[in-house]
Parts: sequence; structure tokens; C-alpha cells
Amino acid sequence: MDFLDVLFLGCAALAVVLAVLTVSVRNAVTAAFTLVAMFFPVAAIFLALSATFLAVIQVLVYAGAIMVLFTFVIMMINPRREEAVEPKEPDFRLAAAVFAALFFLATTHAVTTYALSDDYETAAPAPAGEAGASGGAKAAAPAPAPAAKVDGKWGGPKEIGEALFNRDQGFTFQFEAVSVLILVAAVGAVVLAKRRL
Amino acid sequence: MIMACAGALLLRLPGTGEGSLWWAWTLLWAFALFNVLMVTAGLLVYAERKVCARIQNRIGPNRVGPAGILQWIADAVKLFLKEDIVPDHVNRFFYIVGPFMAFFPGMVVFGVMPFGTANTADPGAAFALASLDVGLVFVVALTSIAVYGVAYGGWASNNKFSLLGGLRSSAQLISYEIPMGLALISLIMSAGSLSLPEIVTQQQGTFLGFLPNWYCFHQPVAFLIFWVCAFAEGNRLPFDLPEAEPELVGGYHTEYSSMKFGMFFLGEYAALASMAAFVVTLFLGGWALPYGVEAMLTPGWQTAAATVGCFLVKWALLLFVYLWVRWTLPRFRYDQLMRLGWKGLLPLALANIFVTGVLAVR
Repeated sequence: MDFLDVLFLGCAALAVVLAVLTVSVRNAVTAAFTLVAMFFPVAAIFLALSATFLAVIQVLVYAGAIMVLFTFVIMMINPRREEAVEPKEPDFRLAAAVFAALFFLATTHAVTTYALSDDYETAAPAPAGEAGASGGAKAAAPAPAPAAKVDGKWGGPKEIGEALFNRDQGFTFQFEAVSVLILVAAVGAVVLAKRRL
Repeated sequence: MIMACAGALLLRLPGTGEGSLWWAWTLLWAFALFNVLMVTAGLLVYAERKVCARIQNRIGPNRVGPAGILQWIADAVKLFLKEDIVPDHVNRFFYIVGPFMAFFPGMVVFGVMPFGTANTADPGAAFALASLDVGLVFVVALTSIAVYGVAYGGWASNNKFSLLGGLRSSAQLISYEIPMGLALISLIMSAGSLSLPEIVTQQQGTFLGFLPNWYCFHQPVAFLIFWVCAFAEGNRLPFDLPEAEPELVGGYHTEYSSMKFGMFFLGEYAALASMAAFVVTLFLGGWALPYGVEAMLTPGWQTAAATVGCFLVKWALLLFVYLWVRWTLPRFRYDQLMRLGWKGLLPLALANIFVTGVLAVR
């Protein structure tokens, strides 16, 4: 077990603990705080994989922008300590567990088949692009073993830009489509909220 | 707090440092930089009081040491010795964590600043704790974290004034981060790099024949926007609404005493110093010597001394301007602050990106 293994295991454990706390604590401000704290070990895992750009963007976008807004709104509304209420909807816990298990199997399969295989070396830039696009940070971070195989450059801004926006095999169209989707969601949220005001 | 800084610095380095003793060097450097920044923050407090006194036609601190130069040490000792009161009505955990969160970003950011070089032609030779190839984004990411300390500190204090201060701070930082980032985008389009040593290396030579080749001349609009936003991010007058004394009794740190208050206070000055260093690095040439002076020096200690000296001079001058502005301009009203951010700076920054794009793509 070398330094990177220790770093990965420590950060992964910390991230999982904080993520569980996020959904289990009753106080909304504390939940926001644990979620913010969770982004840092995840960023550290990206660093251990030499994906410096992703690590920094992880902190900048999630902790620095999105969660600041969340925290601001939570503090503004200042909700009382949430009481345990009986959910009115039918209980989806079983279905949720099934889908979570399926998702876990799928990611495990993906990691063991692609990330840990020898093809990984030759196709180094591709996983960086996928990780950035899907945002499935925890799922996309495999054991740090492959990090030793690739050189320190593959997670840089230039490589990620190539993987995302390359004219021939990039994802420019998908990227723009997603941004339109997000814009639609934002406009929809404003329209829905305005109606009630 | 040293541990927090050292830990954060260590985290950044597994990818970059090779050699067997890199971690020892890293710790040593981190500790040295930490102390430099602490002393800078202390001296900045002293300088602020002196400058303010001059501007208001007073004398300022003059009792401790010659011309009061040791005043900041006395202040620090006083802060450490004061009774550390934790009021009953606070949320203890966040009350204690708040000052730490406000303190550490300003410190850590300094770790990627290139403050000199041994060889002006090679970005790799720059003196910096970590030469990240994404140094620019790293700094922006960490400065955007600083708001949590203020927001949580204000919220945990469980006091109207503190909460208002914390909320104002969040709103202000959210508003000014956007034009700041957009101003940086046009700079990045000019520079074509996110690496701070690389950006500084590009700023050597002359521009239009007589100006130093600094990005503040290439990108004057971006420079202006970025600098205004840097004032707002640092909670400095004219943007110090989070702590506006006449309205908020001191804002988010109203309930804090002793060194917890001291950490907010020092953190603010450390963040100010880091931000000034960032502006110098991006727009004022960093360590780059103007008018080809570097050609007269032999690479090695001569260049090193000249570049570090150049950086320090620019840094000190810029910090002086910060103090000068603070004691000259009045505070914004809240709606004016928001109007300037969203209706003034944001469209301007977008237009600047557009113009840069047209000029750069050709």
C-alpha cells in the first residue's frame, strides 16, 4: 500500500461518511455544510489521479458556486429543525434500493472492465472527458492504481478541452444540448415560481 | 491553523512533487510562506492605521517601537491574551469552524503565486510553492470558498446583525464572482494558459513600443472589472457592506472575541494580500521586469533577486492603493452595489469577452 492508496482510501471513506451525513442530519444548514465538505475529499481523489483541472473545477463549481447559493437560500429561509413526517407518497424505498444496487453493479462493471484493463493506458484522455461530462464524481473515481500508469498531463485543461470539444470526435453538440437543457430548466423554474408569487 | 494550511498544501502536491524529500521541502516552504503572509498581514494592519491617520490628518500609532512599527505585534499579543468568550446562544460547532473557514483560503491561495524566478525565459523555474498548470482556476476556486466562513460565522452567532452581515456577504460575493470570472475569461483568451508562471513569463518585453507588456494594457477593461470585483471579494470599502459598522455593529463578527475575531481579521488582511498578489501576477506583470532589464542580468541569483524585488515593489504599491481607496471613498448603498454588479460590470464583462473573441480569432 503506497501513499496514493492511503490517500484514496482515506478520502473515499471521508467522502462516504460526509455524504451519508448529508442525507441523514435533520438540520438543513448542517446538511449543506457536510455536502460542501464532501467535495474536498472527492477533489483530492481527482488530484491523486493527476486530474488537477477536474479537482479544481469540482471545488470551484460545486463548493464555490452551487452550494454557496444553496447555503444562502437555506440561511435566508432559516427552516426550523425538521420534524420526522410520514411521507404521503407511496414508499419507494424498495425500488430505490433495487436501482441503487443496479447502478452499483453497472459502475463496478465499468470500472473493472475499462479503467483497470490495460487498454486504459492507450485511451488515457477519454475517461477524463467522461468523468467531467457525467459528473458522477464518486462513481467515476476508480482505485488509484491506473494513476501510476498514465503521465501527469492527461488531466490538464488542454487535454480535457480536446476530449470535449475536438471537432471530429468531441462532444461539442452534446455539450451545447446540455447547456440548452439547463437553460430550459432555469426558465421553467422561474415560470413555476412566479405563478405562485 | 498551521495544520489546516499544511494539510491543504500537502493535498495539492502528490501529483507534482517527485524526489524523496519533496514532502519535507513542501512543509518547510509552506511554513515559511505562512509566516511571510502572517507578517505581511500584521504590517498591513499597521500600514492601514498609518495611512488612514495621514489621510485624516492624524498621527496614528506611534507608541510601541520606533514610529509605532511594533504596534501590530502588541495587537496580536492582546488578541491572544483576551478572554475567549463563546456566547450561550450560538451554534457551537459552526461558531468555532467559521473563523477557520474564513482564514484558510487566503493563506492557501498564496501557495501558487509565482513571486520570482531564477531564469526569466523558463516558466518552470518560477519560485512558487506549487506550479499548478491550473493555478489561475485554483485561486478563483479557493477565493470563492472564503464566503462560507463569513456566512456560517454570521449564521451560527444567532444574532440579527451577524446574520444580516453573513447574508449580505454571500449575496455580494455571488454577485461579484460572476463578472470576476468573466473578466478572467477574456484574460485567459489573451494568454492562452491557466498557469500563473506561464502568464507572467508572457508579460515580459514591451507593448506598442513604450508600455511594459503587461496584461493591464492588453486587457484594460478586464483589468478594471477584475480589480473592482477583487475589492468586493475582499469586503473592502467601498464594498464593506458585510461589516458596515454604522448599520450592523460590525456584521458577521459581532459576537466574536479574542483570537476567533483575530482570525476573521487576519484572514481578511491575508486574503487582501493574496488578492493583491494575484492582481499583480495576472495584470501587472508579476515578477516580469519592464523594458528588458532582465537581459542585463545573469540568470541565477541576480535574476532571482531582481524579480523577487520587482514583485515585492509592485505588490506593496498595489496594497497601498487598496488602503488609499479605503480611506477615500464612501460606502455603497446596497441597491447601488447590486446595480453596479449585475447591470454594470456583468454586461461590460460579457461585451469584453465578445470583443476579445472577435479580435483574437480574426
